[in-house]
Amino acid sequence: MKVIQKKVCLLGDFAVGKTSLVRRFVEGRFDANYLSTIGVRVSRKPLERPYGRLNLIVWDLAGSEDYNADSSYLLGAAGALVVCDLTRRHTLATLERYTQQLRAANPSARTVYCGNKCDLTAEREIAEGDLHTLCTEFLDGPYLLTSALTGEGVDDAFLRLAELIEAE
Amino acid sequence: MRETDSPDALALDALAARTFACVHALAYARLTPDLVIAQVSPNLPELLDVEAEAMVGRRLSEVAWEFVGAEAALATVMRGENDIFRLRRIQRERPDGTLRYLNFSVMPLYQDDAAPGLLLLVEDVTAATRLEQQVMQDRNELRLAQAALARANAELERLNTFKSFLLRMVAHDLRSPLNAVLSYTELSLEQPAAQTDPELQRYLQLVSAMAGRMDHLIDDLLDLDQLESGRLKLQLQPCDLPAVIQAVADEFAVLLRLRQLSLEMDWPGDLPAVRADLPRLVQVFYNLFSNAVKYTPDGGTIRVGGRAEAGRVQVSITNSGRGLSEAQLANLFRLYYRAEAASQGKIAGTGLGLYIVKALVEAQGGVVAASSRPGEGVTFTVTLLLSET
Repeated sequence: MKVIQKKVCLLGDFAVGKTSLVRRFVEGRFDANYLSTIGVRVSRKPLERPYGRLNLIVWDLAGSEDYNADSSYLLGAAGALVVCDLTRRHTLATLERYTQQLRAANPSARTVYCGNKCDLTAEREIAEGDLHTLCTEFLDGPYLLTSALTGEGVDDAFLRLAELIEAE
Repeated sequence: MRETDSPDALALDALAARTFACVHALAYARLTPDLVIAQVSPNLPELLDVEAEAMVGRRLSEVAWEFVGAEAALATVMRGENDIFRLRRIQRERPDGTLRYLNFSVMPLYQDDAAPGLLLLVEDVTAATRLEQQVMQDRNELRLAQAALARANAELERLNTFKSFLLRMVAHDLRSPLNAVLSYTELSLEQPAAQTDPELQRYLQLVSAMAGRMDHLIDDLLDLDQLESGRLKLQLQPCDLPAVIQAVADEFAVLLRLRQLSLEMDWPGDLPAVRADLPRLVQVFYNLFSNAVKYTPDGGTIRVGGRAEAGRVQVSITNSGRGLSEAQLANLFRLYYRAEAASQGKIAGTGLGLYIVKALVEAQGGVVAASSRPGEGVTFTVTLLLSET
């Protein structure tokens, strides 16, 4: 059986829900407690594909600015989920910065953008239209609304990234 | 069986490896040029939670997923284009569920001028990283709390603006019919029918008094809005305090007579002018007089005194009511607070008057305080700055 391993990163500001997305995707669970990630945590998620198996090596990077500037974390990444928190307006503007960091280390890396915490509709500060405009017109990447709490869009986001990487 | 292969010896080897790992947070592995693990230090299995046998002979990225995708970067180290490749603060979950943080460094193993392999150094930085994590956690939680507070403030601001708008609109819409009620009641009181029918006259006077109270309530609500929104504008000027108090007392003359209340006023003839906004100063003493009249029983006495000292003028208004407890005094100037007798509906009021008094006095640079003993009435003391200070 053909087995491929690809490194993908989770990028985004602190507390946007990167760790929760990884936990939902890899372990199928959600923990409401917020624990700031320091450094990086690497997980592996095997995906059965028509040609064999794709092992996604998922790098969950710290979102705090003191720790996410280490470009060595990004080396060799085939792609990234770049995440914003729909309940915090300013996190939308950070998507471009993280995309640039990724592209500086890996020019051909693919990106999928996540508007996370879409279940918190009453607290939403980012309209889907704004995310759509930014991602399609400026960042040239697909976007999904995700919720690590309910699982909505999470698998789809990782699978979309996997497809983009495979197409590459 | 050789001595070194005995169960005891193997157990000792493991113990030695664990002890070494505790003493030296640094472990290593030798890598071949094609990134296969050729040799490991005794403490590396402990740090990576992988048996030595499961490491030697396997590719580095199979043992440590962290190196998937790093092949190109490691090749640059192998070729001498880079001195070192580092991965810092790699978080790993141990079999017992605890977290461990590791730093990985890969550097060339030089022999003469050639590099026949690479050296992987693994350092356990758990203790230091945990401290950093806690600091970062606290900071991030603080930032989230600040952001939530800012959002809540913005929402409050929006609601307050809406409340002010609504209040002004309602006040305006209430004022027009209220003015009509007041005017027509005054006109009706002058009609012969009212002059000759005491019962009708009493009814009309009651309507007039109630409408007047409603008018006053609207004023209080608008003042409250101005005070809370910071839109209150004051024109501070020298004010003759005895004249102000006398004018206010004159407004209550009829009521004092009706309820057989005595008014005793005592201040020196040369009481200096204070620095205040005249209409607001009148409002302060009107509210305090109104309060004193309300809480003094029929036949009681209201005492007003004044004195100047240390750049200030102090005026006290004392009623001969039943007085207040310490707890009631502590809450007296709170918005919408009503003391027991008042809150039981025995005395009319809204709980706005004293709150407005305090806010207005403080806005003019003064201080207001209340003192009392149960059964001995309440004394309100207003201290204002002299006009020349």
